[in-house]
Formats: sequence, C-alpha cells, structure tokens
Amino acid sequence: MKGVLLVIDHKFIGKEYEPTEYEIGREKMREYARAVGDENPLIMDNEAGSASEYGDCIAPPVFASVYNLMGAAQLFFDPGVKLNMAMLVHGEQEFEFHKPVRPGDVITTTGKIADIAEKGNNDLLVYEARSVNQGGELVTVGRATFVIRGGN
Amino acid sequence: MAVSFENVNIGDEIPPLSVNLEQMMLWIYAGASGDFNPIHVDKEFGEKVGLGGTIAHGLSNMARMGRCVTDWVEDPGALKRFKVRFSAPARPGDTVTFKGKVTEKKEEDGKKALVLDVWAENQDGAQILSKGTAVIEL
Repeated sequence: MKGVLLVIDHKFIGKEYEPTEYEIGREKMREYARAVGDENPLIMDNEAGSASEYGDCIAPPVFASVYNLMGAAQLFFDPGVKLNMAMLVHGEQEFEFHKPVRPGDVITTTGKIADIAEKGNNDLLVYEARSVNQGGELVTVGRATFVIRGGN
Repeated sequence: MAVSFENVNIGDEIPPLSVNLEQMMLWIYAGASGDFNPIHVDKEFGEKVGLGGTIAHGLSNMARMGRCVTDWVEDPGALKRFKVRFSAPARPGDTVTFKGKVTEKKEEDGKKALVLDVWAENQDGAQILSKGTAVIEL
C-alpha cells in the first residue's frame, strides 16, 4: 500500500520549464541517422536535399528525441516534483512533426508537465515539449509518458 | 518505386525491417544521441540493477520504427504523427523486426494521408514496441 503523500502532487500539472536551445548540425544529425541505419539520401546527400521540396537535407524525424527532449532533464532533477528516478521508465512517446528541421536551424523547446495520473500501482507523468525554429514556426510537439513503477 | 496514395489499400503491410542488435550499436547510439545512461552501455551495471545486462535505448527502437515507415515512402519528411509504447526491452543478441499495416486512408484539405498501425517484436514474438501509430502525408 502506498500513502497519499507518495503520489506526485497534481499541483505540478501545467508547470513549465526553462526553454532549451539546440542548433541542428549537418553531421550530427547524420551521425544519429547512421546510428539507426537511416541512410535516406534526403538526410545524407546534399545534392538530393537541395533538389528536394525542403531545399536542403532534413533530419531524421526521431532526431527530435535529442532536441525536443533535452529539457526533460530539468523535470528529472526538479527538487519540487522529486521524481523517483530509480523507478522511472519511459512508457510512451508521441511526436507531431509540423515541419522538417534542417541543418543550421536553431530550435527552441519549451517543456511542461501536461498531466499527472495514477494507474494501478504506478504514477504516470506526461511531459509535453513544443519546439519552434528560428523563424518562430512550430516544428515538433513531443509527448513523453513517464511511468514511476510502484508509485513515486 | 515510391509509394502512391492510389495504389495503397487498407490492410496492406509495409516491408518489415529486421535488425540484429549488438552492444556496439548501443554504444554508437549513445554517442549519437548523448544518452549514456549506464543501463545501455555498461553490462555489469545492467546486471546489478536486475535487467540481466544492457538494454537498447527505447528511442533507438522508435527511430528504427520510423525508418521502416519512411523507407517505405522514401521521404523522412512525410511522417507527421508518430506514437509508440515501449512495452519490452530489446537487448544485444536480439533480432528485432519492425512492422506496419495501413489502417486508414484520409483526404483532408487537399492533403492525402495514410494511417498505419506500427509495432516491433523480437525473435520470440514478444512485442518491443506496441500500440504504435504513424501518420504519413503523401
């Protein structure tokens, strides 16, 4: 049995964290692509990228796991929320891709606690992060569901 | 040949992608993503915390799932929505197969979209990624 005090306080729903900034590097995004075997010419070949509708190479979509999720470290070490990191697992991940990101894009991401819930013996926390490019255009929205096994 | 909206039918399965995981691939992903959590890179640590060794980064499984979908349409920019549940760990020595199936065809505001169920399983049939959805615009 867990006591009421062990549940993550719902007052943290809506809590926003400091924005993070990340500049997309051409070879860094390719290093990520190679690490997962994604050798699409629109990522790897400058000529193919330039000739495409995107006007340059684009990052593999799940490269968002780097620039969109980097702010989550603030949540993990938030002394107010006090997540039990030893029991935390990444349960689900969702991305909305509004516009591909390209080398040289400077991506600013703002994350917040979108939801807190209890399910069985586990606590769930949804971390939502919105990434915009240097032109202010929304590029990616990420929603990570973290599960704290056995409750926080 | 690139996939065209007209030639795709509901129920079609996309070409699966099989990956034989090795520890070296986990180290390479750690470097590429910046995630050096010891559960992915240190076998002894993984054993000590009861995982039986290292496990692959969940997001690397998701990235390979995405690659399976975008390889099919030959455009990494076509993926518009993507969701997965990390239901079981994948480990070095596992063969993980990524799969997808078309469940819906949509035409809205002049845009043509395909909705797919996507999932990944290991050599024993255990689901590594489940309840996945991918939306592609063509």
